[in-house]
Amino acid sequence: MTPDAPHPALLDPDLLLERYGERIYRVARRMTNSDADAEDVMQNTLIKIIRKADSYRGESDPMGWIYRITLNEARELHRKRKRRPAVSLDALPVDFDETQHAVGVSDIAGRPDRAAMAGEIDERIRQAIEELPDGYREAVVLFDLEGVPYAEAAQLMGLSLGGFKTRLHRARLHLRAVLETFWKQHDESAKDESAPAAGDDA
Amino acid sequence: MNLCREVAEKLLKFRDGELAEIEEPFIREHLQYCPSCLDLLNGYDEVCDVLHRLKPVGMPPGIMDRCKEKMRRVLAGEDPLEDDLGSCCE
Repeated sequence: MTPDAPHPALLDPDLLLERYGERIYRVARRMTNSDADAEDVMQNTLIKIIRKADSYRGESDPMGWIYRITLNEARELHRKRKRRPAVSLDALPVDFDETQHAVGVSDIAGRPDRAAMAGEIDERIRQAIEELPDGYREAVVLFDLEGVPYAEAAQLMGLSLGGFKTRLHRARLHLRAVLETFWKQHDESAKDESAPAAGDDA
Repeated sequence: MNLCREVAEKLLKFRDGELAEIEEPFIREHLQYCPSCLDLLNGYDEVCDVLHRLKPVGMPPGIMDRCKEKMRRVLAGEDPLEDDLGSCCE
């Protein structure tokens, strides 16, 4: 293969699917949290790859280029679906009092019922990832879920290394707050269930 | 120095061992006497653990065949697409 020739795996639909189909679907599914939407993203991504294969001139594995197309397709689908506005992460998602002391932070890591609730926690986190603003969702999907190294993920997203880490960090802090809310709601509903119903003593 | 805010802002660097040598002892010391920040750090670790254990959802049956068929139709000109490729693929 010469640098001027398109990558062979991008020109052959069978080879493209065999080599990259599963990873494209996985990222699409993680970005959309929906089977149907992930399939739409996957199909559109594959078609764009085939149609734009000539413009890819890298000699190495084109996975970075493919990730970028997949993320853009997921972003486009989100826009078309007009989902509810994403949470805002312009500010640090931690509350501080007037002396800048962190407040309202509870211990979510030391709970003895964590393992028993793992399935529900995982689902809540999947939903919360889908509700993140595009750039923050992409940072979590690329680094935490796909294992793309910092520098490569930052480059894919067109960010400086510091900018990428700031997004990843705020997204994780937001997900921590989501878990905190999850446990508060869990404890409140457990308390309601164990409290005697009104009129029981009557 | 607003150490709680500083800790909250630097948890990622702290976990990655990327704090400046001069910063790390301050953060460690703060974590020893500030239960809120310790909970924040442990909760942050918990989120990273959950993210790392999240398994990818399996592919629905037939999706590879449907994608292959879609690509075949597009390449054969039977299923024209709008040309809105944008800058993502440049």
